[in-house]
Amino acid sequence: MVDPIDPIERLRAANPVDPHALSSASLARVSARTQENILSDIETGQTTPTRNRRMALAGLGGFAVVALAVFVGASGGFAPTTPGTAVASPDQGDQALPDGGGGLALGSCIRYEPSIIPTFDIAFDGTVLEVVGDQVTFTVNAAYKGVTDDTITLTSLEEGLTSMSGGVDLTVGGRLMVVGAGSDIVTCGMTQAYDPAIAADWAAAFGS
Amino acid sequence: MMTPSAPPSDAARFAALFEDHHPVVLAYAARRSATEADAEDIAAETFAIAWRKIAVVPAEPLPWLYGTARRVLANHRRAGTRYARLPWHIGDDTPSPMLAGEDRDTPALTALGRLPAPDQELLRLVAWEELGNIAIAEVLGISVNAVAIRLHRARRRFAEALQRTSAEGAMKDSVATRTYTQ
Repeated sequence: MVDPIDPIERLRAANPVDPHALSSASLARVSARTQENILSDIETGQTTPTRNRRMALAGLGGFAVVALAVFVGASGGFAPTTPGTAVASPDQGDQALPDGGGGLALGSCIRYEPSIIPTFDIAFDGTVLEVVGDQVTFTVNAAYKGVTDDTITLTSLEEGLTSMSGGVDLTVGGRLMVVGAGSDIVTCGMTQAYDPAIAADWAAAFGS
Repeated sequence: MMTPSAPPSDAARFAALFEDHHPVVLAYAARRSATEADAEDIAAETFAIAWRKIAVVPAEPLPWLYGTARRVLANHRRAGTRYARLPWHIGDDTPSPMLAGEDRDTPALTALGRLPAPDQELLRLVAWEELGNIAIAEVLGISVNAVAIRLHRARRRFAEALQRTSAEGAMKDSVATRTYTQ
């Protein structure tokens, strides 16, 4: 028996993923995770651009902010910014990473909006209970998404910088509004110091 | 104070690269991953590599991005993570929400799953990524001639597998109908 339909057409019709139908939340998470990966490179000095690595390193923060400000603006859920004039989170504009030579203010890489928070896997109000290497355990004060227990352990992507990871104080006892992607803490303007006003914004964003 | 040292064209190029291609790279990863989170990780890692190597990314970047994503997937598989278990192979897996389409042609996916892995990947690149032979050669790191030869064989094997799968499905339907009516 000969199949009247071209087998490749059958396979094409069975395509399980349409790029035009991907969720904006998923695309936003890719954007956020890409930023995390790049910023982690920058912070740990592991970025290896093919050319002019050392020459570029001193200004890599600027390069990163220029690029990230553009591409984050292009992806779903994030407000666009202009290269070189990226908008810092009002809550984090003064919080810069320890200067690795680029003077990179992480708050500049992404514009925080409470409405973005529900697109991430995990969101909660937590107090740092323990820091072991890059593993940070929180006591959960209020869970918004992705948390089922009283405590949760997440990974700080900036190993070795956990005391000031992405501009966020991760020392024991610190209270934070935490955003997670997978098992990672999302810094870059999302996770931030606890503030009742921010907690109220998040509660509203989650409709609670 | 910002002190950009890399050429602005590189920064702008990476921004455009991401803007233009992150949905298709995510889709590529999702078609080969068991969960949405896996696919997102693969896509993000692919673009982080593109960031590091922006100076050597070709003018037509998509095959390079797919080839990079392919290597990222392979690394994760070697590391023993979950990516090897595709939802259309293993019925018990919980598929990614991205893969939960209701109108998928199951016989075609079943037939695809019965082919050798290299055949599967060739056919996916043709049917799902809609690449031509030159681009496929770049993704897989083989010659265009080798692509043409392997693709010819893969198409034939897929057509045969699809016929067998369809025949099995018809037989099952027939048995089920007989059982129901008895």
